[in-house]
Amino acid sequence: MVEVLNCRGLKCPQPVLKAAIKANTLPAGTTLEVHADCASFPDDVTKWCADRGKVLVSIVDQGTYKVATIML
Amino acid sequence: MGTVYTIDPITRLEGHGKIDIYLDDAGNVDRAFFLVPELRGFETFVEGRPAEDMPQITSRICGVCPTAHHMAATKALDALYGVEPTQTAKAVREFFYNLFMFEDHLLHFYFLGGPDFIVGPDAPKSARNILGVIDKVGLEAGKKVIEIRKRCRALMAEIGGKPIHPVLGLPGGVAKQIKEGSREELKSFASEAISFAQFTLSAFNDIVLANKAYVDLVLSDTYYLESNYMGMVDSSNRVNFYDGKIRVVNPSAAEIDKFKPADYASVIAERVEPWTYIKVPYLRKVGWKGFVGGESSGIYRVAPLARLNAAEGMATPLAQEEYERMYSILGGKPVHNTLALHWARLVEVIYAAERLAQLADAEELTSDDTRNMALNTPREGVGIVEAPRGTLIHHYESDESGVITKANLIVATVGNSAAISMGIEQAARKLIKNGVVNDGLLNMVEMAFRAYDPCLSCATHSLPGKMPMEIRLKNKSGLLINKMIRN
Repeated sequence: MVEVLNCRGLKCPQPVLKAAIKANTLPAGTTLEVHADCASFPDDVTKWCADRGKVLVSIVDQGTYKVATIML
Repeated sequence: MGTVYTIDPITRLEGHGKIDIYLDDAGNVDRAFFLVPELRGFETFVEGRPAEDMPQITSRICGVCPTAHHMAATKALDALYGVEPTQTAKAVREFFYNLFMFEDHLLHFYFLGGPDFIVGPDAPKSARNILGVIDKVGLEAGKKVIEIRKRCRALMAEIGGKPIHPVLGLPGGVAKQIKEGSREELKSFASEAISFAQFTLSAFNDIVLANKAYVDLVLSDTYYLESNYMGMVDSSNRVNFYDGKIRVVNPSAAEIDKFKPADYASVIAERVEPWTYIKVPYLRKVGWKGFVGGESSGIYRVAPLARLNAAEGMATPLAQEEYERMYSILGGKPVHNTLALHWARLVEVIYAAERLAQLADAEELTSDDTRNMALNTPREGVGIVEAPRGTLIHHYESDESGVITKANLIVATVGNSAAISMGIEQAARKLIKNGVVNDGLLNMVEMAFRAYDPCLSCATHSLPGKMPMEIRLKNKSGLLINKMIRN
């Protein structure tokens, strides 16, 4: 199951806050895909995954935004 | 009905207010009112906004104390998201916050309240300002005041991201690390701040305490109110501006409550008066007994003197020394003399400077562990800090996506609203007799509110349900031809 969270246009700390809120509503094992274009998003999402014990599968640059794939 | 004197606008404060003094036929004061006619309304219009915007939105309440709102909002977000900030984040926040307290207290002493003493309470009003202060203390001292505040503001801009409205606080942390390379600059500033605080206390000693007329004024019953007191304390019941429990003492200085921020609503109740936009809080345990002082009063006071009265000491050595000296000279705890707020404020100036020095030495200050991102689903959060003007409470509730559904702000000046109203009426009654009113006397009435350093632009957010309105119709020559009032 893949859930997509569109955070494009949101500035730090909003994308990770939204991801944290979303993650709390999803069962373990779900894949969460977060789309964001804030410059600090890659660092933030990496730290959030480390702090919360989530698996950061990848961060892919899509040109105008980045997609972080997280295994919850 | 006798004459009505209106002081409008009242001066040397933040925000807008006015005082109406009603004299009876004999020329003595019948009633006096402290009126706050402006409405900010933040509590209502933040509903529907993302919670994470609150540190930025609420800092716009005020251009003088945005840092206090930013920090209270940030702490409320910590609670809302159920996340504990890292030790580094706490150190950075507290360092930044003490910079703010230091410069804001100096603003009041030299620019707002201090001129009443340094220049004189009945000096010409054209001289009761910073220029009059510089004239008295000398150009070199005046330059030092401006330079240290400028240096302090520059550091705040560096750490907080902006000179006025900070972008520092995040739930669980701070947005920016202080680099190890900055440490020497921070230590150097702290050292200079301690020296400047000592200079300011020395000036206060020479100008105010060495002048019997001023000491008599401070101790006079014109500016005296027995009330309860509230302030934040650390685990040893010493003053802390950033974190701790809130301690409440009664007019005899006995502890009657000590609570965590989340429990504030069980201690403080708020009421709305129809004649003002400012709320009137009181202690729930005592109940509302009206605008009265004394042992049975439900009114509490906040701000520097209240913080010192509510605590059992200061956490730094020079501040503790000055704290003990103040209570020794003023007759022991608690001190109920409102004008002693000026002295208490300077005790806090030196505490802030010393605390900066302590934190500048703290190893964790420059660590890169700036943020705990173990965020939980948002629900409800309360954040409290000690603003320069007293205990500042931000309380938010949100839906599961973090959108604000309810906000309650008990701003520091609100905590003093009842005491200010009583204080100006008491001063007016004592000072105005047999119809003799002059500029000096009216300024001395203003001194009864100015000691609190009120920030009215921060303080008016309740919507009582109807908006009092006064419409004045004037002809093209500016002559008033009709006036309509809706109460």
